[in-house]
Amino acid sequence: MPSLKDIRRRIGSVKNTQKITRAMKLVAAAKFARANAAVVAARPYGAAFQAMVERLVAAAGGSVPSPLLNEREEHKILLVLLSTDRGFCGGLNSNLFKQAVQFINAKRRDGVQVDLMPWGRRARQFSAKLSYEVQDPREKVLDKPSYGLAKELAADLVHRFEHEGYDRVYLGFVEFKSAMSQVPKFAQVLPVGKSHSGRSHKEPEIAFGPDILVEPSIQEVLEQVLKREVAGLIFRAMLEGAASEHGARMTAMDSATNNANEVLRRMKIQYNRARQAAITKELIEITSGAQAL
Amino acid sequence: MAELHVSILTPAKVAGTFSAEQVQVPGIDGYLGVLPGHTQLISELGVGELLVHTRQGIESYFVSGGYLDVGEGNHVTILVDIAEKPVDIKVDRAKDARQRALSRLDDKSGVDVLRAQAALRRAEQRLVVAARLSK
Repeated sequence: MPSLKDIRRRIGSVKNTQKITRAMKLVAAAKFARANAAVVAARPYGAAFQAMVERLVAAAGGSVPSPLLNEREEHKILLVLLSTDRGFCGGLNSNLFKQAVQFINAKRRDGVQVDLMPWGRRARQFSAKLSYEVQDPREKVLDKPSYGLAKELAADLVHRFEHEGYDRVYLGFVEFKSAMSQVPKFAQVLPVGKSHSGRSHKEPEIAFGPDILVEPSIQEVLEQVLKREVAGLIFRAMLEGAASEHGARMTAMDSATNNANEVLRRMKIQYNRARQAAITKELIEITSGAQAL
Repeated sequence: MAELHVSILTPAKVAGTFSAEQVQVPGIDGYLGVLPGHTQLISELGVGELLVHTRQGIESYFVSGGYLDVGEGNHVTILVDIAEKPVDIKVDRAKDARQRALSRLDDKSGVDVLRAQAALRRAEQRLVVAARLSK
């Protein structure tokens, strides 16, 4: 049986831990509110952009030859894994990695070479453990999601797709459903087309495309728009990943704080029992001492 | 008179929505104006000042990199990477950026001229938009 002093020390340490988890929960809650607002604020642009792409494709009359739309057979693919930098967010990253392993294994069974590109410290540690080809790891991608960074990353991916022989580029990130629920998702980034709602750009041809003027030319605009679509997809994944991170951390730290309460309650009972036992023992000693006289 | 329903959107947020009589945007080869009843148009935008003429007055934005989408029913959507109101522009930073770009263009030793020119243009246009504030 641990001594009174031991139990007291342990109670103190649990209380300190609880202070930390509570503080982390509050910080995560504040960051989560901001990240959540950012996700919501980004939606109108995404929807309007989508509508514009559809109008453009319709105006082009269904035939839009672009290297970025070029579907080819998979021999070599690049999987980008977007993770958090820090832990303490429950199973967020490990769920993503578990699914990533499944994804990779399925591809490898089909004889496809899979290269990994980790974005985020956790993803970097994860890929270091596996013996895959790892490209250009990055950290702090989810720290402050910015469109500028998304554009830079998109240009990098497009370059790799066009010049380094990757037949497809996938992005694995955590889709944000709510503070309680985040779902790992693997989206095809390149070639563009499958990313939005599973539809391909090659829709049934409209005999007379709607009369839309396109400046400077449909070909040029489309090429740029497709690149921007890649950036948009990455930006959205960044926003959702950040919201997921803070949401998951908030939930994890909340349950950690509650668990600490439970542990404290049990230790207090133990402490009281031990104290009572000590008192009883002393009383017995006194009475038996008195009897001996 | 019919009015334009203008929304100015950036990837991060909605920069503004207006009912307007006219919109002037910096197209890639010069400014173009949109009035109610405009034909459907999708155009790439350059760097410059975006003007929205509303009944209350003229709203000015600095915009860079994006598209103008004029759809049916007088809907005008402006999708840009950057949209800043005059009050949000940091004049000192723009001036610094202009100086940097100018000095980079001056020494000409293997610098990315196109990039420096683009930076210069952005800085100058930012200053133009910011100058509206003092008027």
